[in-house]
Order: sequence, then structure tokens, then C-alpha cells
Amino acid sequence: MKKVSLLVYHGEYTNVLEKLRNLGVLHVEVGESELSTENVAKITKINHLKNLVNEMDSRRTDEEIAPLISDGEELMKRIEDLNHQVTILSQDISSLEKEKESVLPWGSFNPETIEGIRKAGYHVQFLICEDKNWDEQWREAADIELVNQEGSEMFLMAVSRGDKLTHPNLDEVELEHAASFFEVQIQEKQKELDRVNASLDEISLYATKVLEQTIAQLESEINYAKVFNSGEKVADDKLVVLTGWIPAKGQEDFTGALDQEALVYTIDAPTPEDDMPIKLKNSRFARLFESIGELYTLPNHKELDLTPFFAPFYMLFFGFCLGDAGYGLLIVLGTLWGLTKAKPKIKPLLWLGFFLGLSTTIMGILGGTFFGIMFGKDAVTGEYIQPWFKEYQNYVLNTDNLMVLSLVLGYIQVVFGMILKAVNLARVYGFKYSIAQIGWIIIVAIAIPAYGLGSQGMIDVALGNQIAVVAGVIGAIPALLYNTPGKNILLNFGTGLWDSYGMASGLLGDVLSYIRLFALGLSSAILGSVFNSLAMDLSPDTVVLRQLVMILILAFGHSLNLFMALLGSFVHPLRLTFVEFYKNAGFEGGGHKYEPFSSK
Amino acid sequence: MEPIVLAYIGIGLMVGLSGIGSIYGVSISGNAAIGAMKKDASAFGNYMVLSALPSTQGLYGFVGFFVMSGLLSGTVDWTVASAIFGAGIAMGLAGLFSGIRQGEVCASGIAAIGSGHKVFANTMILGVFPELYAILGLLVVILINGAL
Repeated sequence: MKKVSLLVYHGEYTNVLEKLRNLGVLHVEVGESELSTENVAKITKINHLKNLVNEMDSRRTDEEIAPLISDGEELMKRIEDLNHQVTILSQDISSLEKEKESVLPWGSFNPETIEGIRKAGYHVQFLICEDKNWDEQWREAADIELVNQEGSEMFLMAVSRGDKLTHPNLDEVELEHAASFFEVQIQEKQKELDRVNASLDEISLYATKVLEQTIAQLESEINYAKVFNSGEKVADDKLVVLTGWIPAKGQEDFTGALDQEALVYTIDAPTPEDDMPIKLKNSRFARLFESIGELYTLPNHKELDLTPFFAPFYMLFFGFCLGDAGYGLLIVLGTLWGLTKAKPKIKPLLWLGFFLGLSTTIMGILGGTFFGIMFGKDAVTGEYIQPWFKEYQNYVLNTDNLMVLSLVLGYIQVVFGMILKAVNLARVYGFKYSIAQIGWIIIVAIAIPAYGLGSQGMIDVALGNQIAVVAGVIGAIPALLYNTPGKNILLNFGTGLWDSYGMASGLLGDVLSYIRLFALGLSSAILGSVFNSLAMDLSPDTVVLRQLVMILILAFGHSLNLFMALLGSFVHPLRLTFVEFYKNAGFEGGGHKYEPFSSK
Repeated sequence: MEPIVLAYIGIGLMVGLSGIGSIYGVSISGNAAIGAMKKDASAFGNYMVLSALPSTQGLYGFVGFFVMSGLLSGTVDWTVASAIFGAGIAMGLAGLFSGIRQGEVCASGIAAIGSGHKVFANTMILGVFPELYAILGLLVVILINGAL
């Protein structure tokens, strides 16, 4: 990265910004400042538009078509308007439904006939009463007819001349319309609702694209405003100074463009105090793992990017935790299928999933499980079908082997981290600052394993101890006496002692932490086999039913197990990477991403 | 008392306590998720993943039972029974407390995400700190089982 400072005459400022945006390489240093009310409103609008995009996406049923309304604002208003109509119509329909419900017990009647009777001087009353309150005497006051009865409720109609029939136990209701009237109304409203929904469906065929353009437009406006405000005004506001960063690689093109515009600028190499943005540069494989590294933090500009160094470990650890060839194959096939359909933006994530699935399959084959079934074991008797499967299970990676392997892998990653730390120290501060670290590496990577192998009888004990002592002494001298170059030797010794305490306790804890890989892998394998045996044992003996129940139990059990195991296999290697590995590699992090000012 | 009784008490404690740990853990984080939904419903995916983290302890207890189930057939002597009991206590207690505490860590993370802080990955990393000790409990079960 190179630091660029531009000096711009204030009248030219907007033009220059426009040019810079078109070039799209300058990462402008934007100070932390409060957003203006205008920008806050834009952010609210973006969120609203995103909701509309989701809504339209879920509505869309057919292929995309060319936009009928290409203006984002207009389209947004139109959708909101239609949505409002949908709400109103739905409310109307539901209140009409309620009214219809209340008229329904009275059956179908013609309101005009009733009106005719009333005009002839009769009272026509619709009454409701509880059947226990029925009074035979009412018949004397009016012609009373039971129209309907629902439970204990009686629906009555009374015709009388002179006085109306009134009684505290009788509830009179006014019926202006029969059920058929409401039915017609509901149908009309429903038709209108269908029409509105149809227009929304039509809009959904093209809305996503238009709305997303509007979102991008708003985002770039906000971005522009931020960059605009970050220019520092000098010389009585006549001049504006803009600072930013460009990648060293494209420097010539960038300066060429600036020269063409006759702009005044300086380009400097970064000083150690500068907080420059980070642009990670990785191989195609390691790039897939950048998204995982970003979950924690980017490296700061001084240190090594550890992505390519943790990527193979992460892949291996994920496979170790999930450790089932069946699940692995499922992930591999799923991601491959997804790759044929996915948008380019998602593809790297799917490739990441593919590699993690691949590693799961390999580890599953090594550990010997396929959907919870131990390879070669007969599901009913538990016996091995082929004798060599048993050999395979016993000698390649049985439980004990897996446990030791998880610790060995941990040890390797921790030592690897320490080596990276030494490289990083030498790179940033100079070789002499990495000497103490190299001493520690000699102790941890040579002396301790030599002693361990000797005491386990894997190599000659005397030889092992000799190597351990020699390596220990060679390592301890710089580790204890030269850990802060330029300081007094006694001070160095004191720091060295303190470091040894930290190293001893830290190393043990760090390496033991990797045992989780083994326990997680085993527990997901065991749970898988538990569901298999549940499916075998619980299914009834009837022919078709048995298979059905078995499939149900297997599908439910394995999806539950897969979900939990996936979660664990994702998170625990993350922790091992960010805590154990990063700590030993002396990773500080805290860098921010290189995001050039562009129109996207 | 027959030795087998002690063994079964151990199994009961192991599955029961670690189950309770997960029940508390997922409920604590689940409640926080519902609270956070009021502020920001769009991050439900994050809440769900974090709420599911403390559900593993119960599974470890269950796996522990399965690992030891081979020892429970037939008669067992006092050594085996006490080993099962001890393993059960180790797994059960570690599962109980790590489940509750992990739930609390996740709940704080969920509340923070709801308030607009981007701490999903950080919460996941911190959330698995307490879980390690439940894993160690399970490891003890596996190792004791192997030693018998």
C-alpha cells in the first residue's frame, strides 16, 4: 500500500471526487463521524427497501422479466400503495365475514318482503333467547316462530300488531341484510383483492433488480457523503486535502490518471505509525478461508496474514469433528449441486463447504463411520462382515489412535504457530528479536518430543534423553538470556523465567484443548449409531409400516445429529484457530479492510 | 444394596444433570433471542445458532450413557459400579454448569446483536469456552469406560 495525499482547489473538489470514484482504487481515510440526518434517513430507507426485496422475492414464482417500472422510487411507492390496498381489503373481507356469520342462523330471507310487512303496520322482530328462558306466554303477544336453534340459543322471529314483544330475556337484533347480501360483497372484495395481488405478483417478476439498484445507488450516495466530508479544509477553506491509500501494484496507472488531470499530490511509503488498510492476497484455495478469518479480525498491516496457514488445519479439524463419511458425502454432493445454481457471490462459500465436506469424508473413512454405521459391521449382529474390516478398524484409527492423533495435531499446530511467530518477529523487528522465540521452538519441537518418545520406549531412552538435554540447553540459552535485546542480562533472565512459566502452563493447556476434536468426533459418531439402533429396535414388525417408521426415525435422528455436529464442527475449530493457534503465532489483528472509493 | 444400583444412580445423574444444563442453557439464550427479536428480527438466524450452542451438553450426557451401557448388562462388582457412578457425576455436574453458563454467554451475545453490535463470531468463540469442560467430562467417561 502507498499513502496518497491530494491537494484540491475547493471549486474542483466535486469534479475530482467524481474522477476518483470512476478510477475506483483509492481507499479514502474516513474519520469516525456522526452520520447526518439525511444519511440516517437513507439508511432507514435502505432497510425498508431490503424488506421489500425479501417480500418480492418470496412472491416471485416465474422467470424474471424486463422492468415495467424502472424508477426505484416510483416502484417503491407503487408496491407500498398496493400493499396498503391489500391490508384494507383483507380487513374489509374479515369484517364482512363476521357480519355474515352473525346473520347466518337466520337463514336466507328477503329484506324487501320484511319491509313490506312492516309498511302494512306490523312489527317484525328478530329475537334471540336462551332455551331455558322460553316463555309460552309470549305466543299470546305475538306470532312467534323458531327459526333456528344452535346449542341452547334459540333464534326467533316475531310478528305482532300494536305493542312490540319485549322481555328482559329476549335480545332483539336488527337485521338489515341477509347472508347472501354479505356473500356478494365478500366476493366483490375478494375479486378486487385478487386483482391487487396479481399486480403485485407481476411487479415481483422484475422488482428485485430495480430495488437492488436503488439500494446500491443510496449506498453509494452515503459513501460519497462520507468521503466528501473526510476532506480536510486548509488555507481559509480554499483548498481541500484528501488522504488515502492505493495498492502499490496499480500505482503507475493511478498517478498517470492524476497527472492527466493536473492534480497536486504526494505518494509516500507507509511509516510504522500509519494505520493502513489491508488487502489480503491469497491463493485460490486459501482465499476461500478468508471469510473465516474475517469472523475474528483482519491482520494489522505489520503482521503476516495467517489465512493460508490455518486453512489446511481448519479443514482437517472440521473433518475430524464431524468425522462421518456419509455426512461428508452429503455435504460434498449438496455443495456441488448448489454450485450449479448459485449466484457468483455465494460460490466461494459453497466451495469452502465442498472442501470441508471432502475433509469430513476422508476423516470418516479413516475413522470408519458411514451415517453412524461402523464399516463392515453387520447392523443386526454387530459382527464384522469381512475380517479385514476388523483389522482395518483395529489398526488404522481406533479410538485410542484418534485421541492421540488429535493431541498430536494440536501439538503440530501449536509448534507451527510458534514458528510463524518467529518469522513474523524477524520480518517486522529484525532477526535478533526472533532469537528467543527460536530457542523456545527448539525446546518445544525437539527436546520435549525426544524425551516423550524416549520415555514411551518408541526410541532408545538414552538417545532420547541425550537429544532432549542438548536441545534443551541450546534452546534455553537464548530463551532465558536474550529475550529482550538491548536490555540488561539480569532483566532478560527475569523476563525469561516469567516466560517459561507462561510457556509451561500455556503449552499444556493449549495442546490439551485439541482433545475436543476427538471427543466431538466420537460423540457425533456414537449419536449417529444410536439413532440407527433406535430405528432398528423401535420399528414395528409389519412389513410396510416397519420401513416407514425406520425411515422416519433415521431421517429425524440424522438431521438432528447432523445439525448439532455441524454447529460444533464449525465453532470448535474456530476457537482452536483464533485462541490456541493465533495466540502461539503472536497474532494481534485489528486491521481494517481495503475498500476503494468506487461507484461499484 | 447391590452394586448395580449405584451404577444406575450414576447413569441417572449423568444423563439427568447434563440434560438439565442444556435445558437451562437453551432456555436462557432462547429467552434472550425472543427479547432481541423485538429490536431486530432480521438476525434470527444468528440468534438461533447461538441459542443452539448449549444444547450439546445434554447430548454428551446421552452419549456417555451409550458409552457405558455395555457395562450395565449382567452383574457388576463394586469397582465397576463406583467407576460408573464417578464418571456419571463428572459428566453430569460439568454438563449442568457448563450448559447454564454457556447459555448466559450466548444470551449476552444475542442481546448485543439485537442492539446492533456485530458480535456473532465473537460470541461463538467465547461461547465454546465453558463447553470445553463438558467435553472433558465426556472424555472422562470414555477413558474410565476404556480402563474397565
